[in-house]
Amino acid sequence: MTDPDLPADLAELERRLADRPRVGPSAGLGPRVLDAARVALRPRPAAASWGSWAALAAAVLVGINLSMSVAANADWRLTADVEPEQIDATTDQLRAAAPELSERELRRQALLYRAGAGLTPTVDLNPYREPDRWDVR
Amino acid sequence: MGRALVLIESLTAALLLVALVAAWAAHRPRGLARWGWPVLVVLVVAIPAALTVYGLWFLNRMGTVSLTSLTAAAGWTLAFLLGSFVVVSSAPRAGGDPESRPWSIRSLGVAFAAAAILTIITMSNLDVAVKGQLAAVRVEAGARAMALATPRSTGEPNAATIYRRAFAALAPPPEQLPAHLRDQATPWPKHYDRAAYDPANREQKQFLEGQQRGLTLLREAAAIPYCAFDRDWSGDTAPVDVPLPELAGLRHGAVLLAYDALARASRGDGDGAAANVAAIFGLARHIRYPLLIDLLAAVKIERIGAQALEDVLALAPPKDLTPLAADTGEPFREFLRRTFAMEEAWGLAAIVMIATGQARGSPELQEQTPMDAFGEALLDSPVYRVFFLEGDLAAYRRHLRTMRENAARPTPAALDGFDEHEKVIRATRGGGVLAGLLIPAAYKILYVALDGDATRGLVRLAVAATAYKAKHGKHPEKLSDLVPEFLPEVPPDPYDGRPLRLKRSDGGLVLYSVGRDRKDDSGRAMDEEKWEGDLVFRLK
Repeated sequence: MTDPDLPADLAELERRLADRPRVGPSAGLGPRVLDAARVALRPRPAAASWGSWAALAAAVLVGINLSMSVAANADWRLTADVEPEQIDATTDQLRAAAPELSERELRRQALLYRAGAGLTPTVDLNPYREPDRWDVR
Repeated sequence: MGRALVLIESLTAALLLVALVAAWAAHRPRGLARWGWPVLVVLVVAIPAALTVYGLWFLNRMGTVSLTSLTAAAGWTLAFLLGSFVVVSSAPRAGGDPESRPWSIRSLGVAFAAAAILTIITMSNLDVAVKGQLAAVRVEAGARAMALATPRSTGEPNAATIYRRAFAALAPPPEQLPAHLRDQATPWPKHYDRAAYDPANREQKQFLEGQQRGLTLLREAAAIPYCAFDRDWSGDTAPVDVPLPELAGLRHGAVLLAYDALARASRGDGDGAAANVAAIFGLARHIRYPLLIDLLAAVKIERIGAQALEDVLALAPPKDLTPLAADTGEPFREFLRRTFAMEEAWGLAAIVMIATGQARGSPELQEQTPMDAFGEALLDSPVYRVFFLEGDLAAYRRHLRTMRENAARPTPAALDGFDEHEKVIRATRGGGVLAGLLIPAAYKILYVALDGDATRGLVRLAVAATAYKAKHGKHPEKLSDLVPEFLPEVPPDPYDGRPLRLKRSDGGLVLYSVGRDRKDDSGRAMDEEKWEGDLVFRLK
């Protein structure tokens, strides 16, 4: 494959170089290269990095905090609810006890009564008494 | 500190959201979409924030929100706007400077999510802390209420059991009757009024005769020193109305006793009428649960008794004045101080109830809250609890403490103190949303208590003057003539601290207190609407 444009001396040098005896690869080179490539390409378990551990720890901490926060903030509604009818009855009775009070003050009082009713739990000393006609329930 | 943390975290989350949208929009083609999306997000966050600041500014001018809260909200909004400007203006653009690296949408998304979650967690933790402290406030309120509750005695006769029998024997008040029976069964209005009684009216006479068993029981009960009504606080339903039936019953009983006294005096039975009047004062003395309604009912009954006594003394002066000269018990001013203390305890419980959502849906709260459902929802939201409840609670405590302190001062300093305090409350709307809702109209209550004490003083003077006339055949020239034979001293006028006054008029006497306007109107009867004139007791 000598370039026909080359000068004669250079073409001669090229021919002599091409005719030199060459050292071929050893017989075991091919398998060795293939083995090395196979080892290099074999899937290995990834080495865990510090970043991954930190992300995992952060996620766990956030999860724990969120869980505790949600659990602590749960409203179990352990106190008894008051029926609207009872509130109406309270307002009516407040009006009967003090008709001079304005409607705004009556509602304020009803709110206080509703809040204060459960504050002083005492045993009913006379649980068997008949409800009298003044009781509106 | 916790609130500052929430503000910083939420500001961070909001700015990261703007950055995230800006980074996403950088990949959009040129035009409106590239800068429009980030600006839209800024507006979506900034407009509610600005409205919140405006609302807080409004509430701050009303006095219900502190300057600190307003400054914090305004600072957050300003920081967000400035930060958004920096973020949007420095966001990379596709096809822009080739040296600038594009922002990672994934990283910004993770950072935004983390900041948002942190904000929620911090807010939730703060809310939990507030609720824990609210539970402590409720315990404090319960302890105060227990300490103030009327002590129970099991070793002496209790008038309450007799009252219950009396209530059962008396005709019920008109409002508890079916509508078609009310007019027929109500010969008189709910208030005592001498003009409503006609001795010749057969229906009224028969009605009173039908009440005699109940009235006898009322007189019997009123003569017993100790009285404590059972309160079934531990019933199967929340007993919001437990203390009230007895008050209405006592008041109704007082009105019936007064009309019966008038009927007896019309028949010339002065002693029987005096026994009825003494029973009315006994009823008032038995109302001692330190609540505002109780105080109002007790004073009202006291005034009914005074009115009835005035009429009885004019028609048939009793020969035996001993029942009327009995000790009338604790002054209403002292009752008022205990009432304020109990009012504070129940008010604290009401604040806890509202702020924890237990009052949601109740008609009282809905009608009291100007913002209706939104305001109601806001009041039991974490935002209110974390940012505003502390100031609200402090304002409520501060006002109630001032009321108690003013109630303990002597008159007229107490009146001046209440007037000044009332101006402060009106100017600041109570200094908090719930405080404004729950603070009592203290100055009105004080006047009610002072009316009660003035009425008692006038009754004592009237009884002494009647005894003087019975002995000397004429009214005393001056009140000091009654001392010491008929009175240890002339009772002081609770409105100005000076002795109650006397004026001669048409052959009789006008005993009077200067009343709510604190001006000596020479015994001119008080105009209840205008609060002008004197509290008077006329003796023929």
